[in-house]
Amino acid sequence: MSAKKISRRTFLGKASCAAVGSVSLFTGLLNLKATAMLAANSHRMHLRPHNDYKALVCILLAGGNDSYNMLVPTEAQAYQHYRTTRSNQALEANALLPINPLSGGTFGLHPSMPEVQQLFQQKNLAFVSNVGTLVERVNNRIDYENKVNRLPLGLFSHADQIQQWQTSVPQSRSAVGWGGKLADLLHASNASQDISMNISLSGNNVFQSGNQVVEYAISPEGSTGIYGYGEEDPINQIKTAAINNLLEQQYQDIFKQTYADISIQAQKNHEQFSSAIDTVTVNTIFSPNYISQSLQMIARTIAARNLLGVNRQTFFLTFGGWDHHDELLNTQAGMLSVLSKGLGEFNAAMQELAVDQEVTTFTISDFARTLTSNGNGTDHAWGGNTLVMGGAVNGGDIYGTYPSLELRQNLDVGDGVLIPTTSTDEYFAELALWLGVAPSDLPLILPNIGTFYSPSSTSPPIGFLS
Amino acid sequence: MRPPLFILLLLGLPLALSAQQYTDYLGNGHTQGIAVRSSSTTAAQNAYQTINGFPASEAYLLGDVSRFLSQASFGGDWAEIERVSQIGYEAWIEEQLGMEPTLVGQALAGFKREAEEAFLAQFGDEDEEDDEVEEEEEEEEEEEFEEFFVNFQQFREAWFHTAMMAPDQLRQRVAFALSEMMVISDVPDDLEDSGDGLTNYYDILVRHGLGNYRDLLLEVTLHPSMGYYLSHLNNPRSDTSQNIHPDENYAREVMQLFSIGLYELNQDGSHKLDSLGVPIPTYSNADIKEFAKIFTGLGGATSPEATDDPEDQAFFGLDFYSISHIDPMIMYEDEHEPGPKYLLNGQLVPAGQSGRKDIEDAIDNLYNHPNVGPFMARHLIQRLVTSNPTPDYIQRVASVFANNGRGERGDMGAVVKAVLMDEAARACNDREGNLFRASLREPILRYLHFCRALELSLPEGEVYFRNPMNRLDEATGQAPLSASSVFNFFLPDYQPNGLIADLDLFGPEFQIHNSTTAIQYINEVEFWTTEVSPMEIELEFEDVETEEEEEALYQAALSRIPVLQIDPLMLLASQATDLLDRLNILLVRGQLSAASYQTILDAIQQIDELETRLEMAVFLIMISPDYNILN
Repeated sequence: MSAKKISRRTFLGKASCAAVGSVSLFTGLLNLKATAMLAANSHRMHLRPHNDYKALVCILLAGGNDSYNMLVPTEAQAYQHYRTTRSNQALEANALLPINPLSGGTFGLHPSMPEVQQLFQQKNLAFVSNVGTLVERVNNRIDYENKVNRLPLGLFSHADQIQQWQTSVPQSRSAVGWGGKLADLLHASNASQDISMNISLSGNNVFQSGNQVVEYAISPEGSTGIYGYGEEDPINQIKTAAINNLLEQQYQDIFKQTYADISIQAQKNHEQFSSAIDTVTVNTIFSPNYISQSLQMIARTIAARNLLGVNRQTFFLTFGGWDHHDELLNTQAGMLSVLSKGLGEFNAAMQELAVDQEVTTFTISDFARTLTSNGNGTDHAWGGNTLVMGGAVNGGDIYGTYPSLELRQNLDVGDGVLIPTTSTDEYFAELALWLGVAPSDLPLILPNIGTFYSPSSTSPPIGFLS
Repeated sequence: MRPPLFILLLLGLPLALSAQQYTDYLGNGHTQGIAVRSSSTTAAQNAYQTINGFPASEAYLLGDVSRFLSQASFGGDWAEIERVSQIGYEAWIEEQLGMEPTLVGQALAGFKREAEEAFLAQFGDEDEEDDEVEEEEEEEEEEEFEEFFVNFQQFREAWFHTAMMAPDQLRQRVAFALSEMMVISDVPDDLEDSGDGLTNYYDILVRHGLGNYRDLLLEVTLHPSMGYYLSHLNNPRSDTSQNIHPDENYAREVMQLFSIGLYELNQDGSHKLDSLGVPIPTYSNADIKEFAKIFTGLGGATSPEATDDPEDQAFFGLDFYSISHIDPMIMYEDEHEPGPKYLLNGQLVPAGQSGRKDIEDAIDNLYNHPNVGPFMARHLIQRLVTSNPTPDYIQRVASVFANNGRGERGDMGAVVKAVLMDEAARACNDREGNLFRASLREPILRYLHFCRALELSLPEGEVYFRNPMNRLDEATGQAPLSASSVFNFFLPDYQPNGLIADLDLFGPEFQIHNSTTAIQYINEVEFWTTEVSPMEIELEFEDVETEEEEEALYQAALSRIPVLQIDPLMLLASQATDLLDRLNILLVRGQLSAASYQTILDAIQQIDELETRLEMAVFLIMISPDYNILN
């Protein structure tokens, strides 16, 4: 603290050795929360705990990925429509990486995605086309213009669309996401309740916030603990006792209580999490960028699943910077390359750990972008294309309906803004069912699902997962 | 005017005591017939407020001044707290409103001068001969320094220096609050590389933050950094033959985030509802397309570094890297969308007027929208005072936005004063646990407060703090002009799961307070309190042979490092309660709860070594919920 001292180590051992404060008598809110959670889940305690393991990895491409330059139709007429509509933002046909979906047609991937091309060919990856936020189906432009159907709030606005892609409730603004509600249902089936089943590499997020469960945030380096906490020297003993008292005492003010809860729970989770993570190894080499490093930490967490005592998990990773109003062609190429490499590495790691059948990765994004150009970029649109990857994925195909990219066709509400033909509800229902949500429970996590899919149906919502 | 004291007789009669005369106070036997009403949680904590030589009343007053300065500035040191307790809040605000702006650009210019002098000292004055050739060389060298390369690191250093040193603290605090609304960020490469562009943009917020909102919005709109960030720089008119339409980015965000928001508002900030009870959108996508046309045709001005050569002059389409980062964008009429355009509320911009006039009309259209008052009021209250202002509070501030009392709309100085002087901000009783009077302090404000309250000072002979705050950024995710998107570090409507969301309240700052950042913040406080300086400083000594030599170099280096002025606190440290009482006022605004006070007291009483005791006291205070929640 002052220039007079050289290092704090100098002072270790200088504290008087008076009795160290005992552990706080306050129980803290943690126990209260746990009680509340048990109560909330009591009516489904008949559910047998899962003995197997399954995890969902959600990658949010924040800002609105221009996914019609990620997945491009290459049959002559379709490509011609693409070329004409996209004008100076169109990619050259001969640069695209060819793929041949099982259900027919020919497409090309963005040239910077060779790993994704390979994953697709190996049937470890599929696309779902023209997915978007819908309150109810919108059949065509005329209906849209005449306001026949209820529409999502704040269409084309980042804040709203990014939230709705995480809640799948586009008629209202809510901070509770479908991954959080899913965890509210499934958390009890994990052998250990100590650490949230929802683990975030990108801090607080809507997707993983439930009514009871919130995410546990880690970084690509893992979890973080308080320096010196619990160490045996006198100063750290004093410090640890005081921290416990400050953060475990009850506060009348809910803001103080919230601050204290988050901080002390983070320390407790760290102790458990880090001791589990430190014992595992993943040999697959990951690139040194933030996305790959984050995926590597997800892989290590999955490798530690038995030590952590978990049977169901979700992971969340934000990859930001896709809002390419400007410099679309250059910037998106670099970012798709990072994504493609990261997916390739992560898939290899899952195979190394022999859990590729148990882990499904999927992308979400605010929206696709206008098919037309604003000069050197594209603007906010609506329906877009997503990626799903994993051993359980019926890969090598494009699901949903890839739309015509001709302007002024039925789905184009102007400037190449396309009405989605698959709802986020259908997309997420497929993932939730695979993870183990009972069909009858689907409406609890996706309240609009009945509009698009009958939970009692014997066929899957889309069919990309077995 | 003196801020009110909060001493009550048991009978309930207010008794205005002079803080200076010490005629009646708790302690020294003066315990009869006086009750202290505290701003802290619990009763039965009066005793400690009497220790340390202050009468309880004064301790309380000083705590409240400290709270005021935590709202209105980057935090006060002891002298400032005492001074404001003498002159009162209103006089302080008036004094602040009258001050000349301290621009961040002034510090940046100083850095450049220092670099130039250092360069010339090393290479320039080697030879004093009056040789013409040499002189020319020197001129070339000097020219080089006009182009001294500055990036976001130098902006952050200049920002930190200004936040520490500027006397116009209110203005600086408001500028930072506005930088979290009219967001640009150093995240994109080109802005990361432009220390000048970031600094000059930030200085708009400094210059107009207490001026008129219309000037603010217009300059923000025309700044090349904003033009680059929200892509209305080099935004051409439409070309239907090529399926090219005007860029909609700025059109959307200037409405959604900088001025009116998504829904029609009542003056108390609540949504207006249609006959079905549904909020009414302020604009449609069609409106955005109209505004997008308005913001076409803007390109860069010629860079100050350009020569007079015609080839060096700016033109439409010239990239951000090559244009001026400090002059407003200019209108290239040929690239501006011709024809009439519709603004909000049916206002028509006629065909044929200049592009610049189109923009002025659009800014006026937004400026006069009734939403701006409540929209700005909520933002400023959230940033300065509380996460959940009551409708009444918003309405009172919005009415000042509409009319400052002299018929002027948009007077930000008057608005800020209304925010701070409102009873909701000033009332001192019943704060604890009051849902509408709490907010989590932003990490960067905690850091600034720590550095200012503990008087981080430059050593003799040094002129500038050079602190890029990279550690803080990594640990907490906050640095000036460094949000991950135009939506700032956190959203105004963020609801942390649990107690706060259950009551449908907001806690924006909790969006960046999670299991990673909560712990990393605690570890940063450990660094601030136990290292030589709370600034990140790396010392490397080369070619050192003996330990004595290293020690000498180390001591020499220490004399050039900014350090905290802890002597006044060390004088109190031998009495643990004296120390804690002082820190309670200085840092916790007198709001340390009885239980937390006891916890910290118990801890530091076990430590005999006084500097370690001080470190522990400050550490525990800075991580305590009482400190981090501003009531």
